[in-house]
Amino acid sequence: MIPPFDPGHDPEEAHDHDMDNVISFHDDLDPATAEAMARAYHQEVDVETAARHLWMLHRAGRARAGSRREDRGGGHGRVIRQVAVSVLVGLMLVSSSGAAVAASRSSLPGDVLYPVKRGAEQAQLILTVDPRAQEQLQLEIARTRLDELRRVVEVRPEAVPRLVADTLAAIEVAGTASSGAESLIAEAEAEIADLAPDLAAAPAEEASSSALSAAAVPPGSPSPAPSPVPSASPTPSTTPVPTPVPAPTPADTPAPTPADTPAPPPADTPAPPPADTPAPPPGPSPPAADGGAVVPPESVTVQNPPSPGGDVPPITVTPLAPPTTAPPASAPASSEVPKPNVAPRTDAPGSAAPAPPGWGPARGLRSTGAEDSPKSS
Amino acid sequence: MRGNDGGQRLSLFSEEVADGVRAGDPDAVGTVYVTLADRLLGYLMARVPDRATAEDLLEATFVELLQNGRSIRGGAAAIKVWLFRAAHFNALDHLRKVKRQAEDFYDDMTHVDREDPALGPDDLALVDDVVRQVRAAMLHLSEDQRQVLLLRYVGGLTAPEAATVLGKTDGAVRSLQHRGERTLARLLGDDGAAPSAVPRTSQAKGG
Repeated sequence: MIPPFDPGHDPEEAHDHDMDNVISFHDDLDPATAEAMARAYHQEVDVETAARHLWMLHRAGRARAGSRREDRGGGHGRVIRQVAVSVLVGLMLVSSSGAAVAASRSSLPGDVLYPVKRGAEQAQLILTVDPRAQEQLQLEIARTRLDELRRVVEVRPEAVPRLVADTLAAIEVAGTASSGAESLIAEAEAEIADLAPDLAAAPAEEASSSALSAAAVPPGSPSPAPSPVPSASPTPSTTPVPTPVPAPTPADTPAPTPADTPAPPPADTPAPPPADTPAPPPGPSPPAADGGAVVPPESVTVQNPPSPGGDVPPITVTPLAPPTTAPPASAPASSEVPKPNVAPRTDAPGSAAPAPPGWGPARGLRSTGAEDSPKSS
Repeated sequence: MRGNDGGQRLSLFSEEVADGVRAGDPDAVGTVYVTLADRLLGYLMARVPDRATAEDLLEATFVELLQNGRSIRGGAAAIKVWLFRAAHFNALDHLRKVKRQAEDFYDDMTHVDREDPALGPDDLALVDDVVRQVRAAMLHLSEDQRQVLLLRYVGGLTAPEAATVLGKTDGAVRSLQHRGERTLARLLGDDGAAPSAVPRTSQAKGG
């Protein structure tokens, strides 16, 4: 069969299931015999068989759970989750050996196999129990996202916005999980700013604005601190958790021409829930900015009537401006803090899908949960 | 066994997974499967004649683990031993059943309950001489020696673990192992001995 995925386990954590290891572990074995026996009897469970067996196990488990459901309430959802996990495990198995999924390793968003890749990552996460290994894995996943981002920019720009969000989300998860994420984060910032300057601004804004919303932004006050700045190279979330972020141009579209003034981080916010990573909706953002919302002075590229078609590049990231309900950040008059953070889904009635359909957010990424994006009052 | 006294690393799967197994959690059992299925399959295939049977027994063994996991005392290592013990008895049961059925039809099917060095058609392509010789030589060992060698070399168990599976003492297992190793080495080193066992089965199954 397949060596159990083994992401970054340190040696002592390694599974000793292949013959070589076994032999080295037991010094009272005779090497010659070991070799002969390994050749004669070593077997591997093939993927289909493993998948079948795992499926059977889960069916058996479900049956058991079902018979006991009365005693423990809520067992049902758990069982369902387990089944999902079993499927993931199957995928995982496939992914560590199957040619098909070797292919998925290099897949990009939009590819048929991409969900397989993401599924395998999730399965790895779920099955990785050791916390350190998990951190490693989360770092790896974040790095993978970043790598995908680099590649996808050229071939499939329309996938970039979502991927930027995913990347940031993954990095954030990795950042909260492990301490070694700083370099990655820095790298990611640079990359994102570099590859997709326009996008870089957007997600940063989102992050920042979400952070800001947590921080006290005087209601009604124009824009938070450095109002005018949309920042070309905003330092998106630098620090793992609380992201002191640059001034948001909470407004709308991925400003094609992001102003170049770097945004001084508005007082770093206490601790915005790490959760609210931006999750820009796939589609073009609703032109939103409600009527009069004046967005920070220069910053804004596309003002209120930005129709996705207009000068807006096909890649619209920032869903920030909720259609009508919430005025974009810094909306002058609006009574309350702009909470464009996780934005679109909560407020925009039918607008954006909560999460990118096919690809789940990284586990632990409780970010997108509705609770994070306070429906703007 | 819990007897992984210091020196040996038995980080098969975490104790957390072991807890899950004892709680009857299919996820945990799945993790154990991923970790140990290869070795168990190797062991089972050495015990029963064909791969399909071995796979069925493998599945049955893990389903038993799911159902009876709570009865296991001990951690990851104990679960591993439990699995091999279950596989051992499952294989025995199967062989007895097959033998019984066979006796209903044939007068003489004594070879049915023996490890059959011949391979199914699927495997024939893969067979090299060494494989055939080793399997044939194994038939010259005593049943106990064979069991010990399989558990230790194919199953990857320690001597105390193998002793637990087989219900023998440590010392008995070690001496069986050493005698088995010596016999095997002699047979494999001596070109005359091992091949003698080959013709019967390979020809029988050839068609």
